[in-house]
Amino acid sequence: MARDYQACHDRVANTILGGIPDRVPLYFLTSEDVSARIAGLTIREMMATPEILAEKSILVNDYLGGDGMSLAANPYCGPFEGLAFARANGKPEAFVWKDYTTPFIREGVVCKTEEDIENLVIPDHTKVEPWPTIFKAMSIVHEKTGMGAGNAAPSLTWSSVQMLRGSQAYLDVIQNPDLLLKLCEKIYESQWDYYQAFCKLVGTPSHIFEAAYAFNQHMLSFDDAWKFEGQFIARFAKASGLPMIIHNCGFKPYHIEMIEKLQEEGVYILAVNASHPLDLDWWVKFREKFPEITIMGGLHVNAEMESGTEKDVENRVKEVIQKLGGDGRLIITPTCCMPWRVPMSNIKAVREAVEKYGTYPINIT
Amino acid sequence: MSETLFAAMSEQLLAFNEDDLLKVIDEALTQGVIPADIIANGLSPALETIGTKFEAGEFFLPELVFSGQIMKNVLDKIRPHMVSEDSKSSGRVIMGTVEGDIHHIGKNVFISVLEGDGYEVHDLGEDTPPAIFLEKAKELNPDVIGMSSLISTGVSKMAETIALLKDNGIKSDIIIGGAAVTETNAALVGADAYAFDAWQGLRIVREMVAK
Repeated sequence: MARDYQACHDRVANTILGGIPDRVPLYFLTSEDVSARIAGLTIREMMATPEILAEKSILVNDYLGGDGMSLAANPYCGPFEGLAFARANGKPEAFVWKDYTTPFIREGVVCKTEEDIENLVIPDHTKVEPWPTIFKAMSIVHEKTGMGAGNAAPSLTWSSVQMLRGSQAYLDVIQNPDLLLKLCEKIYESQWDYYQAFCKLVGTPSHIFEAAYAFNQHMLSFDDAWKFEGQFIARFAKASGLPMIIHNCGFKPYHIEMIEKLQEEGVYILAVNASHPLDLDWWVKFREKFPEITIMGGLHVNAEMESGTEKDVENRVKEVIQKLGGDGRLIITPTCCMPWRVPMSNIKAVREAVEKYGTYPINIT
Repeated sequence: MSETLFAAMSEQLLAFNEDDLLKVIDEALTQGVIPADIIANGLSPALETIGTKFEAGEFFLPELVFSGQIMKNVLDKIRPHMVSEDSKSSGRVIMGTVEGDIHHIGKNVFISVLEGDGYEVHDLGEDTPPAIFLEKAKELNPDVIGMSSLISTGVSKMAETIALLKDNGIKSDIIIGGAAVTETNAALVGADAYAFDAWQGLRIVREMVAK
């Protein structure tokens, strides 16, 4: 059955704005792996032209059947920002393409030395590929479905720090923090350029989907996470004037501390997209503390989605909706991106469980 | 006398003071302290403490990477002083990040912890195809094969790699870890063990080699 794009859009928007939709929305974060699998193309074939990327993105999202519409090649400023940096700085060989999995930049190659940081060229996101292809594809998808263009997804800053500087960045935290801050400033500049290109080529987004990777206890202390990432998120939010969805798929996230600090800085947080903690009772307390923040999550792609049975998936969805969905502000989102190993039957099971248990008013016994 | 030097080594490693640590090690070597004792009594206790502090949320990745770098330099300094008895390893491990993933920090921290505990570790690097794991396993006959992946897609590649190793009769124990891995999917991909972090990994490797 064809998806009703308007209904999907309204369901998600209504939830994030605090209303009660017809049912709990379901949002799949598409990955290159699952997209290549469904589209039957390699990643580079899928990204060969904006038209192909748009067509396959609609196909993939329709096949998955949630309420979302994101590009088949994940358009957040992760690996593809690495590619843009590699190209802008004359090091395209640092980028590793894979046929059926997410491509990567070899960490630490682009900013190996202090001189590399001093001379780092910020990519022009209107010209340096793959961004023009990605932005054009988003526009096509939006024209055809009315979806998929509201979501600018910069990455301030740690994802890019790791890609450009590699493990040296962790030594810089202790040995050369000023140099690291200089790199963070350049990444901020790059992400602002990305945002302006997005506005120009796609349109002004309704919100920012921000990956906050530094805010994990296994990565950095909270103070360092704020110093090298948080302050840039706050600055970006103020400069753009847009609310944020914070994405953090680490396994020891500083959700509470980070949200409190961002709110102190005046950042309006619409939602948190996370896989951890896995304990739903933790999220019940989170809901009590932040009743106006939508929770996007509930399933971990490397847990029941990948390793469980269809019944495991159904039971988890049921429990998530039971504990967190009663008053809205819940979007079921297997997090993070779905890897190749997730069985299609489990994807179908999420969809069916959301339909079965997620219709408002929630009535699960 | 040696006890004082061992305590000073631990103190300097915990303070991430590489220059002073190397001076203490120089002094110990001059006094005839054997490298195996330096590792076992001077460095390993400090590495254990670093692991404990990491697990307790007092240390973070910068401290782990820093201590890993210091350990690498220290071991480079000690190695020429090893005679055959000193250099007898605790066991042989091959270690790599699986194909499709080029993250290396977790792997490298694990390697430095293993080396600090006297293991002979062969680093296969990142984005390591299953065939390379197999080739090195046949060549080196390791006690343990370690695989790491940060990204969610890495688990599939671990399954493929482990299947290839087992299909080819490799009997080494296999331990996997990294942010993408859980205890449940470790069992499903055919690994013998899963480690949440480098120190849990070290404890498991000790058990694997001792059995």
